[in-house]
Amino acid sequence: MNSATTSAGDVLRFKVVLLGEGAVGKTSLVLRYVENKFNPKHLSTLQASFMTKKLNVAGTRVELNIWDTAGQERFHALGPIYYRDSQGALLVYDITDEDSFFKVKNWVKELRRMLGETVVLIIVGNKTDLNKDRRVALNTAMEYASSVNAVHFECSAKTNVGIEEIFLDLTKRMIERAKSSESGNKSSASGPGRNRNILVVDDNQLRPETKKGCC
Amino acid sequence: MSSSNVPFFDSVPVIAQLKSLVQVIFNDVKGARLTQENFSRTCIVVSQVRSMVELAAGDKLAARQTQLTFLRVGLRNGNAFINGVPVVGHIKGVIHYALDDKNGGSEAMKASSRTVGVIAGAVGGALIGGPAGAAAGGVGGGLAVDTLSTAIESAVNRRYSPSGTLALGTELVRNHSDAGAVFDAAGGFALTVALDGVGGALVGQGARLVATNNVPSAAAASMSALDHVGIALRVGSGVGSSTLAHFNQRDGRIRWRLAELNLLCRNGCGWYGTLKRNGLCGKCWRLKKIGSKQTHMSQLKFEKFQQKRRRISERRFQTVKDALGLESDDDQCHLRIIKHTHRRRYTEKFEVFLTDLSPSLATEISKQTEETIDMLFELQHYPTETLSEKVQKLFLDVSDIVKNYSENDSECSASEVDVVDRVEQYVCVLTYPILFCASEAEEKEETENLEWIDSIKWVKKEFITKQETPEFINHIEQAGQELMNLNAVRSAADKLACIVRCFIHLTAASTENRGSCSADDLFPTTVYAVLKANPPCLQANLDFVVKFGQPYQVSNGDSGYAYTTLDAAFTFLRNLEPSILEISQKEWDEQMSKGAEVVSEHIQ
Repeated sequence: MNSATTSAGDVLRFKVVLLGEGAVGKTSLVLRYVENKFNPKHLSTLQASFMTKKLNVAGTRVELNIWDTAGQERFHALGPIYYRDSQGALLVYDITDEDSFFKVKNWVKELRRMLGETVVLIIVGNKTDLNKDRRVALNTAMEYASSVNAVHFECSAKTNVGIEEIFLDLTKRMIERAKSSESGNKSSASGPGRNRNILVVDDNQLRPETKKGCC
Repeated sequence: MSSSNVPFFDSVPVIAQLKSLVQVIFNDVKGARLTQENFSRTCIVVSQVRSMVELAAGDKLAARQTQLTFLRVGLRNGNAFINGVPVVGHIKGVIHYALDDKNGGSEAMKASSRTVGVIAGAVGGALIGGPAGAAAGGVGGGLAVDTLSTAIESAVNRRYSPSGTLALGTELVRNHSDAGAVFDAAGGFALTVALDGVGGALVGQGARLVATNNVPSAAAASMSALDHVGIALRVGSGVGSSTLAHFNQRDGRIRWRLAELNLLCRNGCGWYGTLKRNGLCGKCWRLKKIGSKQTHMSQLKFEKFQQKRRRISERRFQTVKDALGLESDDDQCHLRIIKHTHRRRYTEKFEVFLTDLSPSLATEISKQTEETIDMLFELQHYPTETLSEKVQKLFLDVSDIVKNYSENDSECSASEVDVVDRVEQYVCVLTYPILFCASEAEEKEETENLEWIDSIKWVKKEFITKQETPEFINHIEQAGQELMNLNAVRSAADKLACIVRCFIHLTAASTENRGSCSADDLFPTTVYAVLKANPPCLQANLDFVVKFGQPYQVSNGDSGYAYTTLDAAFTFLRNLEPSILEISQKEWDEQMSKGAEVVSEHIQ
């Protein structure tokens, strides 16, 4: 808990904002990610609306602060209050709901306009367990994502498919951006010859049962 | 019955009866009867009636006896009482001085000044707490002057010499040999306090009238309030003075006479004057005072009071801050007083913390902090953004200082976060009056916000995401209470802690019957709670936290999320319009007028 910047001491701190229409599963996504890894008592006092997650990626200690937002259309105008100063954004849509995908497109436009290229955008199609009702084709979404310099993932929070990869990729990209913007100002926190392989280690490293995923 | 030994309180209605009751309880039946007898002879009203009845019945001797008893007791014991009446007391003081009776003179003066203390206390009390506050203020004011006189007296005489209420209290402690004596002392104590209270309440009523009155003639109103008390006192004293003079001729011990002329205003306006105003009445004194520019403390206070009143009447609304008792006064003198009283209290706390650090570090931090505080007071009329920059710079500087020390000195255990926290707390509390909602524009905005939220309270139903179970309502109310508490704490960190506690309740409210809570639920619940509580100065509190709090706490972690959500909810409500609720303008207008009715009904 140090000073105001995103990097304090050895820990890189990132603000990630969750955007997307109501009921697309933003909260379930984060809950699945955080709760599967952590003892529920580590949940923040504000529970699922604000969560922190500590990671160790290739020797770089990272703390993710994940900010949930209200998805209802009437609260759309409040977006800027939430996404200012964020380094990453998860734009979530429901693959069975085309409208939610259009909503994501709106968010992308707005974020690029307001934050430029400094923010890592990840577009996530949720509810792959309902593939039979799919309304948004995987190709369409992927093409759109690459056209706006964003990354696309599909996952299922319900069946816990693809969740880890999303956050890992997001973290990796945010670290890269933070280091490239910082290089020249400061010597790299992780020192020379750092390992390019990504290793995710749970913060509670002494507890072997928590070591799973991409170790 | 020996008339010269009648205790003073036997003359006062109710108290005399109580005394005899106490005496009966203590098996002092004879004493009780004596008290009753004394009462009927010596009470101002009753004795006159009794002597009249006796006169009518042809019992001239008895009537004379009653009158004499009253006068003697009145004079002997009444000195203390009459001294307490401002006008009479001060005049009596002059007479004492004129007769070279310095002791008696200063005694009378002191007692009169004491009454002024009561009035001053009452005016203060009334502005804060209404009639009850005025009474309490009166008692407090009286006691304060007593304490002051006691201190002065004790210093002069080199021994403990209590004054006023304290003297009676001391007597109460010392005399506990018989029930009657204890009662006399206790009664004196109680009566002094009670009279202070009554006097205070009267003055307080006047002061309140003045404070809420929009008539431009402020001075006239305030003076008439004071004169109102004066009349009551003079009515009593006038009767006393003529009879006192009558008695003197017979007694031969005190050789002075009070004539009506002595009491009148020197200007000859026909009203009564006071010694404090050079024998002038309130109106003449003020006229004279405006001509000659004296710099007197009481005058400064009075002008400040007028100034404040004028401002209130110009604005024509009672601001939220006034209601909360927060001072927005830009009066230099006043702020210095605030600064110094706060400084003493918080400096100690801050210094205690600094002693745990290494001496050179503590000196450096203390120097930086004090310099910034002085600068803030100097720049108080600048926009808050400027002040905010200074405060934020201080946080960075202090953080750097601690960092450098920790790098150079391995034994330095100070955590920069901790030090900055303390500095923040100290600066916020000390300079709160000039940092928090200090401009009139901000105050006006606060009032408008309150009115606006009141007018859109009808949209509440739109934001209920859960059934209104008792638990839900309970959590919402507690969250609202935390929002209200924002005005009770002064440092940005404490305000943030309030907001976090508020959100713990809001989270609990939106998780009712569910395991977790997403922003989809939390946000509408927040909007609902803000609508329901409509806490005063919410915008000012949000601004204060972001400007004078530590940026890390405002934008990170639980506190950052809670702050942002509250900010967003309030922004949402302020910008609410029909299109957001997806209703037509007509429907909106209808609801607004209906909502206004509901509000006005509620107020009625």
